[in-house]
Amino acid sequence: MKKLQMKTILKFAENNAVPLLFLVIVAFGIPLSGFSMNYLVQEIIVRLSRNSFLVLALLIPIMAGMGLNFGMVLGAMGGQIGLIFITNWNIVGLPGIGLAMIISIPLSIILGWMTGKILNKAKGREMVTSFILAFFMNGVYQLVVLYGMGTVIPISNSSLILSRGYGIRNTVNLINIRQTLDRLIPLKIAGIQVPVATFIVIVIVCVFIVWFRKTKLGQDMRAIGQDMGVAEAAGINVEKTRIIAIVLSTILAGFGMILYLQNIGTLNTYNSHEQVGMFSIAALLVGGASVNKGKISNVFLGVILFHLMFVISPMAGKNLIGQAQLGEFFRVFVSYGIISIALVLYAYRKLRAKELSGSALANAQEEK
Amino acid sequence: MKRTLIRVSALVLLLLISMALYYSGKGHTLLLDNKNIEIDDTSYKALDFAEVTIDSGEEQEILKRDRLKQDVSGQKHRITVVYLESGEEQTIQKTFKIDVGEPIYIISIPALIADHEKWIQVFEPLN
Repeated sequence: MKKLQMKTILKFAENNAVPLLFLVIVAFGIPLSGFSMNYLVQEIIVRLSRNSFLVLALLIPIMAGMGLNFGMVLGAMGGQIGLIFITNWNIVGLPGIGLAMIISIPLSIILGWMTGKILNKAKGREMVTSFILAFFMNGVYQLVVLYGMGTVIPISNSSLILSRGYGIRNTVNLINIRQTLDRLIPLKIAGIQVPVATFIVIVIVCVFIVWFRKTKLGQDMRAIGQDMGVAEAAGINVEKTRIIAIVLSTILAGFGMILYLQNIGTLNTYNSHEQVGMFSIAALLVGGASVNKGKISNVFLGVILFHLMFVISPMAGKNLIGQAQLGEFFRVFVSYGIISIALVLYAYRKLRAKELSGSALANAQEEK
Repeated sequence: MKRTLIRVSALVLLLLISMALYYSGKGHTLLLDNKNIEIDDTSYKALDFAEVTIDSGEEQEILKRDRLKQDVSGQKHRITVVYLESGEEQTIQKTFKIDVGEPIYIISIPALIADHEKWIQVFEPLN
């Protein structure tokens, strides 16, 4: 009985190695940082509202067996272009956020469709392909924003344009939409501000994902995620379904980026999108998701743990060795490290499953 | 055929929503001016003090020779001015529409109280 319990605990620990590791880091980090509980709760609520949407965008491609969509950066670029346009036209408040989202939709569809087409030609290597694709598209984005805007694409707002007459400035002030959604329904509980409207939007996306899983298309995606060959044999249009999964993810990433930036209030034109993919993926993995399995609960747990570490690590580093920079290095190190660990664990489990099924087959043959 | 119709309808709907968002969210700046002004050879004197409210925003106090800046969104607005005339409090309220293509308008409070038709004008900065 005790052996069985031990085995169950070990199995649980193995399956949840990453979140458990983070729980330990956070448990040590919180007292070292010296932050009050109120401050930490406030920070976590802000970061949950800011990042959850982006992380949720990753779930659909996982469902379709396409792994972690590093191509979400393309959607983020679409969202940023939407924000540049509404800033140029001086569209303020909620209509501004809505219009930026609408502008991002066609861009995300085109970019998502292109990504899906390319990923269909690189089946089994989707993650590395989308990672490199994001780098490639970053170049195209910079070309459009740095040279296209103000020349081919008319930009009339002088505060957006570089002094040379074309190209968008490094920083765009999003004061017109800053925290509009967050402050739409004000709620303060024990001195902690809760962005109710943003959470309502996040809940709507969660409901959409749960509903989507139950639709015919969602079931097709799950079937493809389980086994592409079997799904194809069952008459599912695998390539089209995979493209739809990426398009949906890219659109959601565009929306997520707009919500993220409305909270921040400043658009870093040439950098904001770059790290969004990596941080969102790292957060999802920290929450216990893997390359082929991701749940909504993983999103929220991941955002809480990952961003709690973000908040506490600079201060903990400063108090521990007298340098806040340690925290900065630590969080970048952890972001990359956690993605590596998740990928290694995925490869290890896949290999072990293959070995187990191989030995089971061999045993069965011997028995015959 | 049905599918195409649905797609076209969705596209049209999206365009209509975009237009509605554009018009309702378009930001404008209103300059509230309380200075002596001459319009069409008629002079209007600045008020010593007034309280101005745009739509349901915050009440702003404006003194003689003051110019306040107010950002608004959308095209239809309401201005309420509370001022003293012969020691009695007077309130004047007007609704106005602004052009979507004009970023800045100037409102002359003395002209508004005198009910001159040019109390609101497009602001043209001096070059």
